[in-house]
Amino acid sequence: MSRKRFGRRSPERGGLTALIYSDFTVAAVVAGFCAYAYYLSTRIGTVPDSLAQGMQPASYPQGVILVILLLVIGMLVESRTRETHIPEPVPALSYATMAAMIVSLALATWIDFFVGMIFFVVLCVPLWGMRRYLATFAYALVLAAVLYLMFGTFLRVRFPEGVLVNLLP
Amino acid sequence: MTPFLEGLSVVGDPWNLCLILIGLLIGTGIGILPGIGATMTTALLLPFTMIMEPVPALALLLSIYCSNAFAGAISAILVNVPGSSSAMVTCLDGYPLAKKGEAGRALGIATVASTLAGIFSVIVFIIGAPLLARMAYEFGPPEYFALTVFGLSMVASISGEGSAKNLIAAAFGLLLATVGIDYVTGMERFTFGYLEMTGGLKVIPILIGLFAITELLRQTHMVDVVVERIAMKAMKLPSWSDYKRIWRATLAGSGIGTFIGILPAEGGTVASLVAYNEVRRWSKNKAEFGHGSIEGLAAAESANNSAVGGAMIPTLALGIPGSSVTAVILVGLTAQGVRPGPYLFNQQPEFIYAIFAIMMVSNIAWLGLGLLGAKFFALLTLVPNALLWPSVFFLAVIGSYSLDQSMLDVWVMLGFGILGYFMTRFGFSVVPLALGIILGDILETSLKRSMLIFEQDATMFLERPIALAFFAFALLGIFAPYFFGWLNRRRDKSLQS
Repeated sequence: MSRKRFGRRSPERGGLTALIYSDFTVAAVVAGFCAYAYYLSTRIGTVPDSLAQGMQPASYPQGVILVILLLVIGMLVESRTRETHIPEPVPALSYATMAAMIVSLALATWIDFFVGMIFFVVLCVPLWGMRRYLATFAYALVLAAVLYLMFGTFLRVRFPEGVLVNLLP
Repeated sequence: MTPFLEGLSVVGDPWNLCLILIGLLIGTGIGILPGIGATMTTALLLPFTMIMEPVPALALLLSIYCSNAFAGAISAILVNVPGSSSAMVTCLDGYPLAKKGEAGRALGIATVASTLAGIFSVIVFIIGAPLLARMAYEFGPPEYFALTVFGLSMVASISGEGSAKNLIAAAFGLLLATVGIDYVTGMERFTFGYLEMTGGLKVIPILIGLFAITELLRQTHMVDVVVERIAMKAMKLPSWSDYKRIWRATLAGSGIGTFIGILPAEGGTVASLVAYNEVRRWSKNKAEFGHGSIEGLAAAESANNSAVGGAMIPTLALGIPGSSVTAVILVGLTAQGVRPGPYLFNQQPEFIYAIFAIMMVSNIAWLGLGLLGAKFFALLTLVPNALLWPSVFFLAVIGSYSLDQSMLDVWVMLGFGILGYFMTRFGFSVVPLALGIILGDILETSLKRSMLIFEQDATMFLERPIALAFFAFALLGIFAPYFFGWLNRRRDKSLQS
């Protein structure tokens, strides 16, 4: 089995990365999210007091948003005594795996469930370093068959209609 | 006596015994494979257990939970990579022992210490859970609200970069739990007009995403890590002199592990760290720690295994999960129509006894399985990651889909998986988020009921002593990390000067 690094990125990063991972940026993003969530909460309908039993449907989520904002302040206070931790760069393999997941789910949703899943295995196994294409394809087929037997036959799960699924009993 | 016998008869049922054995094999297998922990496995298997009755479903999940805690030690000792995060401390002394050619002895000590601690914690569970449930029987909505706040506050000290970030993640989970129809007024909240959202976000696909997909993406950072695997000739049971040296460490680890397991949200990792440090502090052979100390190994292993039984106590008696795995088990129980809490002990005592029996049998059975099969299970460390992780995705997709046969659930699972991955990069842990989503409903319901009882006067909480005590513990849980951080900084400064 051959293992090869897939697009490992250089660990050196500039000031922009430090800025992205700084707690101030995180706080700004969380505060922005809270503002949007609060705006959405104002669009939740109100009910007469007798029905609301003292608490309107938006009150609780708004309270939680307020708590999040207070915690953001706590996070900024906490960060004063701590250096910004910059994690190692996201390897290209992570993005490739995410892309493969999205494409395979799109295939599973609109073409065929098992075609999407087999596609993911066939694509990802070599990406993760195992370059035996025929064996990988055979493995993907066996895995799909085993899981189909387990879920489709024994658990009676009905998979969405598709090119392959329509051929199955 | 009848419920007791009914509960015990569960393990006499061949189907349940078979499920316990399957659970032990799965739990051991995945416990050895680094990255795949009990939380991920139980989350992946939850949809599968939905077709079972509650007791067989629990037999499978609990035996996985018990054996997983043991099995993490095998890869920790032989490969120096913990199979689960709770076996992290086991590497410190287990691997040096293996390098000295004592892999069989190290695994023997780990197995025996794990089993003894597991049995100890189940005994505490058998005694403690009904006592706690009896106390909780007196709890009203205000006490439950305070207890849930306390449970959530404990996430401040779990893994991640800082306590505030953990609490933000938990609060974000609480906010997500409000999606759907408000049960009191019937008004839609954050549904964006989608009919599928009115029932709220489905917890199981979210858990699968947070625990399975997030970990899968995190593993992309480790594909080219090369590990040195030490071969083991045969498992060796501890000698009499070994027993004499490890019994104190095992007992201390069991006690510390069970206690930390009981604390909401704290699990085996914290337990093993605390136990290891305490045993080292009191040991006569301090210098050996980190270089192959059998006391250190026994302390770490007994603590992470006893946390399993401890974590089940608040989960069943109060409905507040003691760890991330019990959070998943709690979701499974709720989905099965079983509502954990004090009333469960009165209404379905046979169910509680069945859980005791399943955990006891799992612990005892693992002793045999561990001693006889460790050498063969160790071969699993040879499974290439390139084959393993794509299969996990396949299983996660099928598991999420099979719940309601909806592709929307699968997309939700993927969305939360990717979100969880980026959260961890920014120092947020996914466990508090999951706990927030799980406990959100209890928190909101108990708050609304409390306010009704108090006629909208929140100061009335101050007149409830139990609630007040939980609020005090919650404040302690939130501010303790800051206090200890401040103490450490002061100590460092004085050492520098």
